[in-house]
Amino acid sequence: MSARDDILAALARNGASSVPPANAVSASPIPAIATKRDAEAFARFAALVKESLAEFVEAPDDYAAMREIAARAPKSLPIAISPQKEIASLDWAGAGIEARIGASPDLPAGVSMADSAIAETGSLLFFSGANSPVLAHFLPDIHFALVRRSTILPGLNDALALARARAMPSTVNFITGPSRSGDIEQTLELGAHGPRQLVVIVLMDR
Amino acid sequence: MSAHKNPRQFPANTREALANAPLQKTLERIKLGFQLFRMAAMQELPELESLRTALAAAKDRALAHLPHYLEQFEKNVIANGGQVHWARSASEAIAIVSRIAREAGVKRIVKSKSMLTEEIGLNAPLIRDGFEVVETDLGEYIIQLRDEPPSHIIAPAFHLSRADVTQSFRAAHTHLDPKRDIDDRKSLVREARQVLREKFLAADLGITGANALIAETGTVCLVTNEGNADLSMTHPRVHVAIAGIEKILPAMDDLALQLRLLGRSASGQRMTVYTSLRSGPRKAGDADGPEAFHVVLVDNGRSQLMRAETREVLRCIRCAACLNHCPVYASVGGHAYGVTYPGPIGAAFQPAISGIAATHHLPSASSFCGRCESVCPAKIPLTRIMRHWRERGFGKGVAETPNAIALKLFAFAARHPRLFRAAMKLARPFWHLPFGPMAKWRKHRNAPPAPAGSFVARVQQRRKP
Repeated sequence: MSARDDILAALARNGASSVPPANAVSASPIPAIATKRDAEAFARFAALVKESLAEFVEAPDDYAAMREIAARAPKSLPIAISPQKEIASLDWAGAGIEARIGASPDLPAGVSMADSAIAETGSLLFFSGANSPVLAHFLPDIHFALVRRSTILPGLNDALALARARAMPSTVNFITGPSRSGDIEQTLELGAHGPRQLVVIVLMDR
Repeated sequence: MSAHKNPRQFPANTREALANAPLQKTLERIKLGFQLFRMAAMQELPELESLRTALAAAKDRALAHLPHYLEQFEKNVIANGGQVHWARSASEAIAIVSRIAREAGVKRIVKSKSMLTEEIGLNAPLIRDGFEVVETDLGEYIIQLRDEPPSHIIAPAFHLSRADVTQSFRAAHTHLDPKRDIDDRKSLVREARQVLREKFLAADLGITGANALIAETGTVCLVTNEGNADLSMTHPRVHVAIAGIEKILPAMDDLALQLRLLGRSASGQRMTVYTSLRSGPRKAGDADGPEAFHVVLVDNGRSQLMRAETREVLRCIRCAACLNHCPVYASVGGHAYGVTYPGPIGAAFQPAISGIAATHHLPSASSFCGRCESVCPAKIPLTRIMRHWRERGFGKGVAETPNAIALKLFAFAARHPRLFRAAMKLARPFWHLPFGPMAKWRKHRNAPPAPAGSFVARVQQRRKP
């Protein structure tokens, strides 16, 4: 017998069933923190982003967002801009930024645009795709993450449902704060492998 | 003094650990770190009890129909363009990973933190097969350099100090300036980042574990705080995720539930920094991601734990809350157990994979205070399962011999009242003295002198008119 058949047979011998449960799956309780909407959701998201040791910035429009980035990025170096259409097409030069389209291991600063955000956890949600490299969120030292206020979701269940609605992109990333490690003496240090600094810029589109 | 201990020597290991002053100092951090962080994180969750009950129910449902969900998971991984392999044992799992690496023409492997790969001992055989294998979780990297096993499920280098790490980095990173200053944590983390970033960018294969396997979509979920899983599973051209068969969750809503409890129970985080879902290799047109994606499903004793007496062990999501709240773990640390999974979950899980003969001390290393159960996010009845293993140990005659003999003698005496009374009379003046047959037992226990007359004698005395 193959390993597969053997394992399935051993499970069956010990009482596990190879057919799905007869009754519909019981819904798991959704805690109150995962049900906030609108202004309450935004306030929770803002508070939790700060608690996650990321910087929280509100920008009324794209140009304001680019100015915030220019003010924080290391000078005299290009910035890696994720090829996502919404940000790759912006007038970066007009904001005084030398943009290099694509994820780069050699540039300290990078910009990418989150597909959504989660009020329950203060997380950003990114879907991989043709113009959306996963590494754009991991390679930079300073990660500027743009997100539209209108895309903030109440909780994790909503975010996972959105990923399913998008037919499960090959990679889905939830990002909650800058990279960190507590592995040396249980003391937090930022910038283990991913970005040392995360700047969340919310485009206030409503 | 080696960090690789034998579980058969648990009593001796604990004495060594209790006498190890630096280790005792390190262990003090459990209370101030993990326990308080967890408590604070649960404050905003008044629904905690119902969430724990729901997670236990979700895992139970998955386990009761595990063959169905495993087949559904497999079907969906294949539909997503990935491949699924099945391994009955540690050696089969190792052979599968080595074959995947060989067939893909791989030379350099980066690994994200995975307890299962510790359990099956994956690194050494892969290195023997000629692959470079580098651990990338900072704690795992440190212990790999020192050739030590992890001492904690989520904090593998918990037992080490900053000075230990400095020393290991100086010994390993000989290509860097020997006069550099790496005495503080910040520069150690920076140096690890720099050294490991090069490894990530040069690797052909990334190996990760799995925090959950979602059947309805064929998805592997991984959580880290450092980003090591993400760099391991995105940049190399092949991604191998290796997972125990019990990691299955039926649906995405079950994952939401698990994520709500995992970070909070483990490190007191509302959400781990990086939570990542892999559903297949890169799709046509994707900007990045691996060209090939494999999942290795490992049994290694788990199907035997499916028996009714032990099934709940398979609910475990490896948060380590039971270790962090265990007075035994807090006293002796992880290495003394001499197995991959220390603490209460190890005492309940490890006998199934290492055999009760080798591990019978572990389920006995508990006062049954029950703190582990009270914090377990999946409500695993840990003390009941430890008791099961104790019984199995006694049944097989492998439990500690002096205890077994003493209990047999007691049982015999208790069934012969005259003999019992005579024995008590003889022992009464001496039993509390710190020498003789009870000396060993007395060493860590208080024994007040016995009162003059026996209980029976005193009752009879009182009854006299």
